[in-house]
Amino acid sequence: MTKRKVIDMATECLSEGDPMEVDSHQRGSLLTLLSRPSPFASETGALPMGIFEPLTSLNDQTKVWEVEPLKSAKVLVVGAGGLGCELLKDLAMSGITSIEVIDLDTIDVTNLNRQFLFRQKDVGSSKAKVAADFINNRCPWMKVIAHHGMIQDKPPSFYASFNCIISGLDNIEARRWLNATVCGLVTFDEDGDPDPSTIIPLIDGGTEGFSGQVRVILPRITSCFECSLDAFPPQRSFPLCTIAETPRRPEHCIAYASILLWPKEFPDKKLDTDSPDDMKWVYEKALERANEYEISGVTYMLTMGVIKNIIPAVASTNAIVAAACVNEAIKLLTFCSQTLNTYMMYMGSSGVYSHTFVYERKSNCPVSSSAVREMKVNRGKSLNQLMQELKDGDLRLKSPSITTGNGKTLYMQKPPALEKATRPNLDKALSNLIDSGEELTVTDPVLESISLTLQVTFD
Amino acid sequence: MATNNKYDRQLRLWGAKGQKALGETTVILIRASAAGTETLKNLVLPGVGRIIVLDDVSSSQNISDSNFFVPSTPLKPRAQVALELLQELNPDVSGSFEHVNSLADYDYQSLFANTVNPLVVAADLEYPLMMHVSKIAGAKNIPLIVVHSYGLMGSLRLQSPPIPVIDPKPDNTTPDLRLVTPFQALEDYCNAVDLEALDDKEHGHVPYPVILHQLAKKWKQGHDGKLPSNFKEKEEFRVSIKNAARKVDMEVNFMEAVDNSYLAYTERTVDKDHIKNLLEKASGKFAVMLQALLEFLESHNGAAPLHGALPDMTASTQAYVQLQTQYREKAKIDVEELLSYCSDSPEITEEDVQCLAQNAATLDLVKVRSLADEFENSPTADIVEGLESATFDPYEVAEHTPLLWYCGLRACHNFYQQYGRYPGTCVDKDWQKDVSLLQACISKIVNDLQLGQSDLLQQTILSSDNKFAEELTRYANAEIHTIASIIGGVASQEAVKLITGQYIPINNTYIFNGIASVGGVYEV
Repeated sequence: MTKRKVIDMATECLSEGDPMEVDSHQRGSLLTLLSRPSPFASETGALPMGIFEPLTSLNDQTKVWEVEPLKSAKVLVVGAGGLGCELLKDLAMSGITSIEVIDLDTIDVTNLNRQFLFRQKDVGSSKAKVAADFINNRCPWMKVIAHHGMIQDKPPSFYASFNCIISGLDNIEARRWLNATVCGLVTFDEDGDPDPSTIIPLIDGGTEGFSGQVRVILPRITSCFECSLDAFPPQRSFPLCTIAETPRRPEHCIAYASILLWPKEFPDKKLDTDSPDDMKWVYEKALERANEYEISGVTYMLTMGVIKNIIPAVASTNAIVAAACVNEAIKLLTFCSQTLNTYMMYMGSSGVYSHTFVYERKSNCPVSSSAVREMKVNRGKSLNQLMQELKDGDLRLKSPSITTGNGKTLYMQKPPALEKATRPNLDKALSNLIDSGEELTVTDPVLESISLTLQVTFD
Repeated sequence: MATNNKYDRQLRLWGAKGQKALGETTVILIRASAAGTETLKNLVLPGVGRIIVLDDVSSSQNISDSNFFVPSTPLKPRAQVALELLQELNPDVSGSFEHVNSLADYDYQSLFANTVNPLVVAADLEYPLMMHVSKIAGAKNIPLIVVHSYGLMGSLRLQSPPIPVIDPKPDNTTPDLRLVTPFQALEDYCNAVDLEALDDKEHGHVPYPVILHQLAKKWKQGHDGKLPSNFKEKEEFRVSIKNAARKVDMEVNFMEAVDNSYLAYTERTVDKDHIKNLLEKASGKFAVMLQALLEFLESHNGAAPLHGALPDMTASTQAYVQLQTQYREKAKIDVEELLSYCSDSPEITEEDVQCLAQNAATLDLVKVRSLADEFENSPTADIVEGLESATFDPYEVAEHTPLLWYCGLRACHNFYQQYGRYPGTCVDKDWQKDVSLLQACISKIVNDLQLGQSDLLQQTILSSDNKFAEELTRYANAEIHTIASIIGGVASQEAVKLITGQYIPINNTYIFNGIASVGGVYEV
C-alpha cells in the first residue's frame, strides 16, 4: 500500500477496523487511552479511584463525549475567570458535556488578557453566562449551564449533584466555604467509615503571576483545604501609625488617601474601586501627600494595585494550572490513569520549578478530622475573649456561634432575635457559663455546615 | 472600570518595555496541533505582534476533537481555521496562514529570513522534520521552541542563541546598603547623625542602616579596624546593637538593625572574572554593557555599581527620605558613568544601563545546546553528569521521575526514525507488538545517554516488566487536550521570557508526566 493510499484512508476517517486501531498517519486520542489497557491505570496508584476497564463497544464514528462515564458525568466549575475559562475549554475538549459554572462577577476589560471566552463587547456582562454561551457555541456537543451568583447561595444538595467539582477561585474565604461544604456532604456508616458514594472529589487550582498550584481533595480521605490554612498567612496591612504619621513609601500615601481621607470626605459613600472617578480622587490625594513628604513613586497604576490588591495575572499560568486540574478530573472519572497525590506546586519565573508532594492531613483540622480540640483558658476569660481567639488564632473563624454539648446556646450570630438574646453572654466570664472540661460546639459561616467541638478546661 | 488597559495585569509582570518587545515579535507556528495552537493562544492574548500559522492538513482531514481552535468544520484547511480563531482572540494581533502540501518540503529558510524578530514554535513534528527545522533555525540564530504532547506526557525544548540573563526579577534580593565600603555621601550622612542628642521619638525612628554604620564603626575601633568575622563576634555585634537601644523592646528600628546586622559586614560584590568570562561569549548589546561594567569595576577598584533601592523600614519620613536620597543619587551617578562607557552604542538606553547596574551581581549568559547535538551527537561529560545527578534525586515514586519519561519520549522518536511511524500506530490490529520494539529503542537511548548503569533506570525503565514501553505504545502519539494545554502554557511562558529578556528561561527541556502530575527540567 502506498503512503498516499494510507493517507487517503485516514483522510476519510473511516478505517473500517476496530477504533482501538490508530492508523500510522493518525494520532491517538482520549478514546485510544480509554480503549487500551494501561500498566498505570487508576488502581495501580497511591489513590486508587476504581478499576479501569478499557472500552470495547466503540465504533469508528464514536465521539469521546458519547462514551461512559464521560457521557453521564456532571462537573461543576466554580469560577468563570482566569482559571474558569480554561477549565471550561479543557472539559469541553475532554468529552464532558454536562457542566455547570458559577460566578458572581461581571466582565472587566482587564480580564481580557487571559479570560479568553470574553471580548470587548462583553464587558459588563455576567462571566458565567458569557463563558457558557461561548463554549456551547464553539462546541455544539456541550451543555454548559451558567449560574450568576454566590456559591454560598446554593444549598448542599446542589453540590451533591455533581461527580466532580473543580474550583478556580481567587480568594481563601470562598475556598474554605466550598471545601467545608463538599467535605460536609460525606456521610458515615455504622462502622464510622465514609460512604464512598458521598465522596465528591474537589480539585482546587490557584494562580498568581508565574506561580500556581493544583491539589486533589478527596473529602475524608486526603488532606482538605482547611488542613493547609496556615500556608496562607493573613493579609497584612500597613500599620496605622505609618500611614498617619510616618509615611515613607508611595504605598503609604495611597493607603492614607483611601483609608483615612476618603471616609472623612465621603462618610456615606464606600470607595468604588471600579469607578475611574473615585480612583482618580484617591490617586490625586495620594500624590498630594507624597509631594508633601517628598516621596516619589505614586502612579495611577500603583494606586489601583494597592487599593484593589491586584495580583498580576497572565494567560500561560492559568492555562497550565487549569489543564492540570482537568487532567486529574478525567483520570479520576474514567480510571484510565493514576491520580495526583495530592498537591502540585508550580513556579515559572526562574526556570520552571514544579514540586509534587502529598499534603498531609492536619490531625486537628476542623473540617477533615473529627478530633475534639482542647483549649485551656483562664477562668476569668469572657466569652467574647474566647471568640476573639477563635478569630485571631489559627482557626481564623469569621463570626462564630457557640452552643454547649447539652444544647444551651451561648452565643448565636443569627437570627437577630437570638443574637440579641444571647448578646449579654459575651461579657460574662466563661466560668459563669460552663463547667471546666465541658465540650462546646462551634459553627461559622466560613465552615458552612461543619461544626467543631471544643473542650474548654480552666486553669 | 478603573482602567481601560486590558494588559494591566501582565504589565505588572513585564512592564511597558516587555510589552513593546512582545508587540515587535512575530511567532511562526509550524503545525497547528493542539499543543501548537494552545502555545499561540497564550501569546496572542498578551499581545504578540504577529502570528504566522503553517500547516498541511486539508479541510477534509480535520478529524481531531481536541483542538479548541480547529473545530471539525470541513470547509477550510487547518492552517486557516486555526489562524482565524486565534487572531479573533485579540484584535491587536495581525496574522497570516499558509496551507502547504507538505510541511517537510516547505522553504523555511526564506520564511525565517524574511521575518523580522521571529520566534518559531514547532508543534508535534515527526523526527526528520523536527531536526530539519531546528537546524535552519539554529543556523539563523532564531529562537525555537519545540513542543510535543504525547498521550499523558508532554515535552518542551528550547533552542536559542546564548541567552543573556540581565533582568531575572528574583523574588527576594539582599538590599545593597553598601555599609562595608560606604560611598562618601553615605559616610558623611551617617556620621552626621548624633544618636545621643536625639529625643526618644527620633531615636526610635532612625533608619537601621545608620545604626549599623555607627555601631560597625565603634566595633572596628575596638577590633583593630576589622569587622565581625566569626560566629562569636557576630553574636557580640548583635548584642552591642541591643545595648545601644534605649528601650530595646520598644524601638522597632533597633530590632530591625539586629535582624539585618549581617548587612554591616557582608556586601554584594561582582566577580570580575565571571564578567570577563561572559564577555568572551557575549555579543551585541549585552557585550557592550558587560564591557562598560568592566570599565566601571576597574575605575572603582572592584566596587560594583550601586543598586540604589532602599527597602522600607521603621523610620521617620524625613530620615527615611534623606537616606533614600543618598542611595538614589549615588546610583544615578553610577548609571551615568556606565552610560558614558556605552556612548558608542546609542541603542543602549539609560533604562538598559540601570537594569545592568541593579543586576550586576547576577549577570549570566545561558548557552543552550542544539537539538542536533542532543539527538545526533553523544552527550558531553557535563550533560551526562547533570543527568546522573538527576537520577540521585528521583521523585518519591521513582517510576514517575520525569527524566525516565524523557528517555521514553526519545525512544519514541527513535522508533519513528526506524519505522516511519510512532509505536502503537499501525494498520493491523496487533498494536501491542510494538512494545518490544519500543523497549529496544529505550535501551538504545539509555545507552546513548550513558545512563545504563543507573540503579534508578535499571529498576524502572530498563526492567523486564516493560511498563514504560507498554504505556507509551498505548498512547499511539495521542493528542490529549489537557496535556497539550499544559505544554502550551509552559512554552508560551518561556517564549515571553525570551522575547522580553526578563526572568530566567529554562535550559533546555521540560518534561511533564501527566500520570502523576510531576514536572522536571533537564539540560540535554
